[in-house]
Amino acid sequence: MLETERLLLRKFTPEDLGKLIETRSDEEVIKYLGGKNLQNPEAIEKRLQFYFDCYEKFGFGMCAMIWKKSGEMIGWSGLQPLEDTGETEVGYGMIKEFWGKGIGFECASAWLKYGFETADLERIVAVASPENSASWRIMEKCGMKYQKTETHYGLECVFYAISKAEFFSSKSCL
Amino acid sequence: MLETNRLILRPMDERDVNAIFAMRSDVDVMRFIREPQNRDESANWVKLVSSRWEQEQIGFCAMLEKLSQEFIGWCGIWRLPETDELEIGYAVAKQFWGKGFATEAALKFLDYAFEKLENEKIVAVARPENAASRRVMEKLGMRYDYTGEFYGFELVHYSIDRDNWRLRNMKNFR
Repeated sequence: MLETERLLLRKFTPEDLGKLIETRSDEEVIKYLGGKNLQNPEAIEKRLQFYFDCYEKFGFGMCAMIWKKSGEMIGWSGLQPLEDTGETEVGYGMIKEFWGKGIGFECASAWLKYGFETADLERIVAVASPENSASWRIMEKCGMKYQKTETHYGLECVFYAISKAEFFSSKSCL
Repeated sequence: MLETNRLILRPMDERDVNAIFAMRSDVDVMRFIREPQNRDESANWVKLVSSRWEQEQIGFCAMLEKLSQEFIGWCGIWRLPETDELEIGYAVAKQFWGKGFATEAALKFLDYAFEKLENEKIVAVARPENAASRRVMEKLGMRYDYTGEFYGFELVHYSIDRDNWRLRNMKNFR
């Protein structure tokens, strides 16, 4: 579990399925996540099982994003393998009421810190639809650099990455 | 790994965390560097200053007394974020102050930066009131340039270029 200023990022449990389906029911929220084709109850249930498998295998995975103030689940965020590329991606998404508050950046930067300082990863990547500027602006704000455009999850994506050295080099040596 | 008359300089790792924490929690050692740190912060600092060897061949080394293998302090080179210049940095545990260890280690790193990295100019920064550090810079053959903001502090900026480094070595030879 990670804690940031306004968020708790905790592992999903089977009981979260209904709420996760609910957060991914809004057409606008899933506009860049494959829409209903990829985000229907059946697919989300499978995806949740994948998250559980990740916890087992890596010790981390996509987590429930909890708004501390209310205790409500408002989205998801975490680190997970990017398909079978061998890369680890950081991901985030949330319901519309919480857009535009810097929440994506808050959790993405916490996951980068966790990934490099605790999980000892060498590189973290992120992918998003080229039109999803809200998402790749977060990547850029985190210090990730654009690498290429390629297909992931069946969709055209911009691909960003940051290495451990780049992550640490932005810091002071004092 | 580098060697001087009295010192071994080797890249830092987990085994140095205790000694580094002892220094980085010491208010006297840290007076002119930054706020003292706890153990976790010290461990992260070790990771940070060890993260750039592979890509950039820069970082901080543990300074060990050759015969006793005692931990004396740290010394190394980093890149000054504000100007992108290579800087030299050092700190010595209190019980070893006043024995010329910082100068001895820093001179070796000057050679490393000019010879191995083929850099043309090396700089160093310090708090204006840190007379001991400024004395080291002067013994290295560095000259005061200006006072500016680095790492969020007002610091004096010193430097030496390749010609003056050669000149200094010739003088010492004579």
